[in-house]
Amino acid sequence: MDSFPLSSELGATLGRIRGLTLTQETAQHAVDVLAQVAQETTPNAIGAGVSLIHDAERTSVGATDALVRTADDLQYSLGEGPCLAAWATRSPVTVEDTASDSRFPAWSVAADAAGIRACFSVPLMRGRDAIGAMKVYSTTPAAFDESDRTRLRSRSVAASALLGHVQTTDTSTRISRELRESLRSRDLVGIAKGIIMQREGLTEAEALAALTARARSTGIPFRRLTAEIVNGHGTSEGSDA
Amino acid sequence: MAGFPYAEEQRASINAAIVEAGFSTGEVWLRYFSLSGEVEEYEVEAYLAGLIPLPPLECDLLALAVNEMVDDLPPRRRARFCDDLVRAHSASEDDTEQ
Repeated sequence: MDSFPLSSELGATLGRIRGLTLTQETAQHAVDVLAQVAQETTPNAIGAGVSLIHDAERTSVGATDALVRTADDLQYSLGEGPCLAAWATRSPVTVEDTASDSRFPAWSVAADAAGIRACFSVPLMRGRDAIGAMKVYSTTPAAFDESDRTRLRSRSVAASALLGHVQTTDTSTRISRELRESLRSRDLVGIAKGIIMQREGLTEAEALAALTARARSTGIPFRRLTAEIVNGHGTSEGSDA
Repeated sequence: MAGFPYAEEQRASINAAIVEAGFSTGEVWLRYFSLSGEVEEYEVEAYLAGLIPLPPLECDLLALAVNEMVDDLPPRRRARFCDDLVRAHSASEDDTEQ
């Protein structure tokens, strides 16, 4: 029992069990870095962005500059645009020229007014689920050629793999709760073992065997059984024999 | 660790229960750990695959963890008997008459 692992090690273990890469990096940091990668991948882009989308709501956004941020914000305030479409249809969306494209009328007008003329957006997929979108913008119409699109698509695969495993506030809260519950439960078993050892003159292993035997014969879940012993409500071995 | 003659039979039954219920080794290990299991997840996985033996008490804790998880699964739908339905309907009619 003295080889009890540090809770940080346990947290990492639990994270691994849940298929998550637990680092200090937040989702925000990851999308910022990936937005940078998208822009460096696409020389014709004036800026790039990465959004994580959940239930048509944007949960995190990374943007290389204020113009990208504006163009992205417009999509969510207007409820339409190439990234939302890429996310919803799970396929890439190209806007050659916001001045003439009619698929997202409100967004196109607003983006054009802000100076954005072209946009290419690819969905970020985790399995069959779209988890967000990666996009590049330009102030020049038809700025992106086929090689730009191919490069961004292949980057999006790596980006998806990373973002799918990144820690969000939600998962870290859940993991620390599971960890606390598990440690509390383990603690109760330890205390109950000690009580049984003292009360019945057993070794640690015998006490544990006696507890598991009691859980099996009574059908009471182990955690409740040990909690009852710890709280003084548990019957002694003598009374249920 | 040798000595218990039915160790392999127990291992197979634990593994079969896990596979049938669709549990991951990780979630089984977490439950086993919370029941004071001493062995690491990696070793539990190796044990389940039949690669290493575990002490009998650890095997029993693992079995207990798996069984409690099985008990926690939502129960299957049950069929109803004639008199269940008669009783249920007469009770609801009594309610409406009152």
